[in-house]
Formats: sequence, C-alpha cells, structure tokens
Amino acid sequence: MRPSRLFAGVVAAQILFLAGWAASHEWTLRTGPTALLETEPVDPRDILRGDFVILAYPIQRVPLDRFTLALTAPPDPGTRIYVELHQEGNVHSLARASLAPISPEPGNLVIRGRAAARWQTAGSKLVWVDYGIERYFVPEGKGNPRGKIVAKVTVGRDGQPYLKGLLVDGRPYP
Amino acid sequence: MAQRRSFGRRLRGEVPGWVQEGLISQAQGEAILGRYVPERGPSRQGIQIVAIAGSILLALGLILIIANNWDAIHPWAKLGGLFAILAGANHAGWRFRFGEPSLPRVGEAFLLMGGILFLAGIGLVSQIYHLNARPASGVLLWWIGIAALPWLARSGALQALSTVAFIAWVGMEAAATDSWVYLGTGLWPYAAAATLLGGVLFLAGERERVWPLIWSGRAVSGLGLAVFAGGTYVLGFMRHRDLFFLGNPGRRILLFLLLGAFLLLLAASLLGLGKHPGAWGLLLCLAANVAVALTMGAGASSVAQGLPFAVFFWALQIAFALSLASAGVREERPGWVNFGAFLFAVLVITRYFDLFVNMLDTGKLFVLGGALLLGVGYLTERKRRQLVAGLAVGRA
Repeated sequence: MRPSRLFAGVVAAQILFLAGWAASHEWTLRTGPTALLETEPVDPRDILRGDFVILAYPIQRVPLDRFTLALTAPPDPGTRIYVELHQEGNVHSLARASLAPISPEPGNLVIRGRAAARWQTAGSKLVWVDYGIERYFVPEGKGNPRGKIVAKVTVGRDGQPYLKGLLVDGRPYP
Repeated sequence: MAQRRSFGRRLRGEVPGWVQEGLISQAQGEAILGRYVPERGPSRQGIQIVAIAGSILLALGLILIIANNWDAIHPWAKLGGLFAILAGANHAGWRFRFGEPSLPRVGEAFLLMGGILFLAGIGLVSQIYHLNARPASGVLLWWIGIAALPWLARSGALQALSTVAFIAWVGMEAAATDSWVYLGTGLWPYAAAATLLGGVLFLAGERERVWPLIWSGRAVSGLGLAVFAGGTYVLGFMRHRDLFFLGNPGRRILLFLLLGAFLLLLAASLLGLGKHPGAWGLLLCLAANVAVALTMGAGASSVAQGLPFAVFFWALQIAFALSLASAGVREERPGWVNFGAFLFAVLVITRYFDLFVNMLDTGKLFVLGGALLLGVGYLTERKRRQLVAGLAVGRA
C-alpha cells in the first residue's frame, strides 16, 4: 500500500478512535443508571486547583470488614475493587465491597475502582479506593464552589462510574 | 552543521570550474549540486524553526480558545472542530512535504501540529467526560497513535515528538502508584531509570536501521543523550543526598527491564564497533555511568551517600562529557561535540555551587561563581569552536 494511504489511514484511525471513545461515554451517560454521591471537602484552599474541582467521597474509604471475604490487610495499590452501593434517602452509600465482580441486590448498583496508596499505613483497617471521578473539570475562572456538593454519577455496564454533573446545594454547578 | 555549509559553499564555487574545464558535464554538475547543496542551509533551518514554533503556537492557541469558551461551545462542536483541524493539519503537512508547492519544512511543522493535536483530542475527550483515572494511559494512547507516523511521513520532527511521548509515558507509568513498574517515592530509582532509559534510546537510535519504526535515529539518540545526562546530573548532587533514599520503595521491574534492554543494545553496539572505533570510549563510559548509578541504590545507600562515591561519580560524568565530544570529533558528529562541551561546562559549574554553597558567604560565592561561569564558558566555547571547525576542515 502507498505510504500516503497508510498515513491517511493512521490519521483516520486517530479521529475514529477519538470519536468512538467520546460516543461510548456519551451513550453511557445517556443510558446508564444514575446515582447521587455525597462528597466531602478535601481542603478548602485546594478544592479548585487550576480548572477542576477536586472531589472526595465517603465511599472512597472502605473498611476491611465490609469486604465479602473480610481482608486482614489492605490490598496492593492498583488492585481492582468492586463496591456495591445502596440508596439511603436520595443518595447512594457503601453497602459492601469485593475483590471479585459481584452481582448487586435489586435496586443497588456496583461500581468499580482501584485501591490507592494514599492513607495506607501498616495496620490500616481501611482501603482507600479511587474511582476515576475525583476531578470535575469546570470552565476557566468559574471560581470555588461553596456549599454542599453532591456528584451525579452514571454507571457503565462494566461498573465504571462517570461524572455526569455536580449539584451545589441542590442546584447544578457551574 | 558548520561543515555542511562549508562543503556546500565550496561545491558551489568549484563545480562551475569543473564544468568549464570539461572535467564533468553541465548535467553532472547540476546533479552534484542537487545532491549536496540543498542540504539544510541557515535559511532552511530558520524556516523550519519558525514554522515549527508557529505550528506549536497555533495548536496551543486553538486549545486555549476552546478552554476560554468552554461553556459557549457545545461538546460535539468542540470535538468536530478538533477533528477538522487534526485532519487539516495532517493533510496540509503531507501536501507541503510531498506535493506541490514543495515546502518540506513547513510540511513537517504541520505534521508536528497534527501529532500534538491528537494529544489535545485525548485531553479534550477526557475533560468533556471528566476522565482522570489514569493520565499515564492517556499518554500511552498518544504514543501508540503517532508511533507509525514518523516512518510514514519520513519526518524527523515527528520522530522527536513520538520519542518525547514514549519518554513521558515511561516516566508517568513509573510514578503511578497502581503501575506494575511503579518505582516508589525516593528519587534515586527515577534518576537511575533515566540513565538507563537514556542509554537505551541513545543506543537504539544509533542502530536505527535495525528498527522498522525508527525513521530518524538522530532524533531518538539525541533525546536519549538528554535523558541520560538528566539522570546522571541529578545523581551527582552532594547536597540533600539523603533525600534520594527516603520514601517508600516501589517495584524495581522497570529498572530490570531497562537494564536488560541496555545490556543487549550495548553488547550489540560493542560487537558492531568495527566501523566506529571512536565510539569505544563513549560506550564504555556510558556503561560505567549506568553501572555506578545502579550501584548507588542497590542496598548500599550509606556508601552511596558518602563523598568518595560522589567524587567517583563526578569523575565519570566529566569523563562521559569529554568522551562524547571526543567521539563527536572522530565520528564527525558536531552535535556530540556541542552537547559534550555543554555538559562539561554545566557539570563544572554545578559542582562549584553544590560544594561551596555552605562554605562561602553569598557575596564571595556569587563573585567566584560568576568568574568560574565566565571562565568555563569562554574556554569551553573556544574549544568547542576549534573542534567543530576541525570537523569542517576535515570533511571539506
């Protein structure tokens, strides 16, 4: 094949990949089940670093005894963790966790994340889990959100959560 | 580069005389000039630098326009616009490089812009959908997406960009706590990995014909030298040396992988030195630096923190800088001569500040430092010019 066609093919593949990637996320956001997750202040001075809001969630701290097969020590950083959420009021909170895929109880959701190295010390009874929804990108100069922040999250079929939006004191932000 | 200009100028002067004397025909004269003189002259280099700077500014400007109007532009419009610019940059790059009008340097700048815009596309999708789970994977995606382009477009600039993407990915992967090649929180493993990675890239770039996807070995080996020098430079510091060995240890898989690749390439390079005797000293010096960098952290941190070990390492670093310049003269590589001279000057000045910053008061430190800087700069530049001029004469 001529180099010019191969080159055009690679560039077309780049564009198709980006378009497909965006489309798959768009599809998940529009069709997947949605949950509201409470957030916690990370550090008031750092809550908006650059142009994204840093988010921390209570469901990021998973006690070892909440795992289906109770753990004696936190798993290695990077280990895949599945977390079942159940609804309490209008928000979802932690029900149980597992190192293997789990089927949720009716009405519950399962999201997946990875064990993080943060806050893990010898003898720790908690696993810190990163879900990939810890940053919410905002327009440049949109300021520091004040108030109670709730994250609107859509869950993909594979359990991957996606940030759909933020509510500050019940109103969409920004 | 100076010798190329000198050779070109001489040919332009000589060829008409050869034709007049009947030594060669007019057509042969034109063919000889066409073969050698169109190599990069100063104006062509200038065009390339301006065009590349322009393409980078244009790409950054487009990204900033999107960022500043984030709310006003619908996500699909952002993506559509980026796809159009990405395709347009690559199309223009190919046309200018290989079609009419023939402006290969400008074409290369557009191709470079296309490569950067693919990264911008990954960043844009990540921002629209708030994806931030693994930045290292995004950079890997970028590298994979552009890895074949230098070869297809025969572009040194794209080769440099692709190599930068690879280096960035390895670095980010090594620093990611969930990575299987995570190197921990101490500084030493990262600096040692940089010396190894730099060595691997340098040796791989010098054996460009072995690798189907390396179009321009010079771009790869040049960046490898820079990464290698960066790693050894960091490891040479005496002040705060204890910080190198603090923190949690990570896995050392990356170091073993890089060491294996380095030893294989080094062995292959040493075996193939028949045609390049001038490179012997350089390769052995490279290997010695890598060996010392690895030894420093291999369970001997108390020894590695001592002055004798540091002095030994400094001597090796300076020997490497000198052997690089020397090999540059023998192999007719002005880039090596220039980089070796630069490295030597930086090492001497760094050691002065590293050692004397606590021994002298600020005034004396700066006066002596300034004098040293001027002296080393003058002597190094003089020697560098002599060596490069010697190369030009040797070739002409």
